[in-house]
Amino acid sequence: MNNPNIMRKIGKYEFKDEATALAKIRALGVDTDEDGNEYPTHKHCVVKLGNIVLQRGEYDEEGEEITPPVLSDKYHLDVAWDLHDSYDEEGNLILADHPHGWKSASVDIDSEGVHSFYGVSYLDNKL
Amino acid sequence: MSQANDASILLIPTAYKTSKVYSVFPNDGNGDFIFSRSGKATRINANGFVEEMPSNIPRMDYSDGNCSALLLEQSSTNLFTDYLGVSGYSGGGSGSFGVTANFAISPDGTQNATKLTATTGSRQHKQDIAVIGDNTISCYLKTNTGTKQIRLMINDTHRLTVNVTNQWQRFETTTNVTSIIGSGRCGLVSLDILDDNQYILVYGLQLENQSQSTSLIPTTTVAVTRFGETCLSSAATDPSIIQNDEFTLFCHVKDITSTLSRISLNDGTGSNKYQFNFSSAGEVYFSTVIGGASVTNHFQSGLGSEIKVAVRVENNNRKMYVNGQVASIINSTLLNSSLLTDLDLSQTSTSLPFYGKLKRLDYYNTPLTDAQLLALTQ
Repeated sequence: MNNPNIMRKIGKYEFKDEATALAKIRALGVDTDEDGNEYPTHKHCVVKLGNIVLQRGEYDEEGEEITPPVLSDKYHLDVAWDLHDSYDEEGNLILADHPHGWKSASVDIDSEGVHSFYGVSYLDNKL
Repeated sequence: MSQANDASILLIPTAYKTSKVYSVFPNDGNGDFIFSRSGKATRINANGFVEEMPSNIPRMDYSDGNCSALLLEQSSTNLFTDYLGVSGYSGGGSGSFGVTANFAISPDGTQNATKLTATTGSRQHKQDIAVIGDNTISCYLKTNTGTKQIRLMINDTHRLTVNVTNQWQRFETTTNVTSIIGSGRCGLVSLDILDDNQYILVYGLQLENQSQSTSLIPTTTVAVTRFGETCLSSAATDPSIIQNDEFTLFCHVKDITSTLSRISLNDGTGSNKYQFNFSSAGEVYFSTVIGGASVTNHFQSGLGSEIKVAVRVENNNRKMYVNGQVASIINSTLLNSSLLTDLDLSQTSTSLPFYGKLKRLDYYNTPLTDAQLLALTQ
């Protein structure tokens, strides 16, 4: 049975460019305090991975590049969501899902990928 | 008798359990703090070793010696994909290092430190991982005997020479990267010759997109992110403890790792609060916010990494002492103390947490005397 109190669910995302990704992050919520400092109003942990390395480059003994690394042309994010499952009026479990506009950018992979969260597995907590 | 015995809330962080940090006073639990961190994190334990702590276990850190402090940190990512410096590294410059895994006892007390040798200077042991913005590289280094020099490298061009002795030390350097150079090479560069007779051991390689290092984040094959932490809601079950018009608040903090590190008496929203703000630049200010507007500020800069600060709040009189000196006196009205619901190591329960080491936090339900403020902050 799913535990409604599980705090972290992890998703991996790719966007066409950095600006699109940053706009999505900002839409999760920001506020400004009395001193003009901006801060997120959510508790999600967003990690900007950028154009990740899909294939590592090869180098000789002196570090000269033999084969350049292959970079993704997409901008990548990993997000550990602070989401909560809930129950409807009939007591049926409603699993937490992506915030609006994120699902279409989600990618599903069968490994931890190029980044992980310390002590919280993507594969075990995939959104 | 110690002044601390008169505190309504006294936090000297030593006792904890999962998701909780116990206050000394009150002893009915109403002053305890709720702690939260998803996933693991490391600390320096009482024996001086790097130790991994499970999810939601507060970290009492002993990196300063025998006295522990509550270590609270922001989320951070170690971009090196192997913190032991074995896998995924390549040579550069005049060549590569000789690498022997699991060669010696490391700062975590196990046989996993890596031996490095270099037959010439200017050899590199690096990964191409620099990012735009602040980059901080840190690692533990020691020699088997004597002293040797080696360089820490960020983005190919920023290099810091360090003197490595036969005692484990954690070294770090920071630079702001505005454009990636040399594929963003980060790692170690040989300076002295290192051979089987005199070599360097490395452990805990870490590159963070931060202005200073944070606690060690182990990695094995990919970059890893440690979650941020919060410590909140003392007095939430009995707000009357903190609903005093006149009071004294004292904090002893160290090694602030954020420009917006806050401790507040607040109403749950942040619209009404008394608040300490600490910065990693050695600054502190105490503000009174009424209806979302900051009405008074006490400010003190030029402080070191360790700050003892106390504020006495009375009607039309605030007095702040910092590190044994009067920092400022301001005339100001009080906020409505009946609005206060929480004492948080944060601005509110949802924003701008305190990041650094907390050694002590006192709340007194009366204004202390000048002599008492002086004694607390010395």
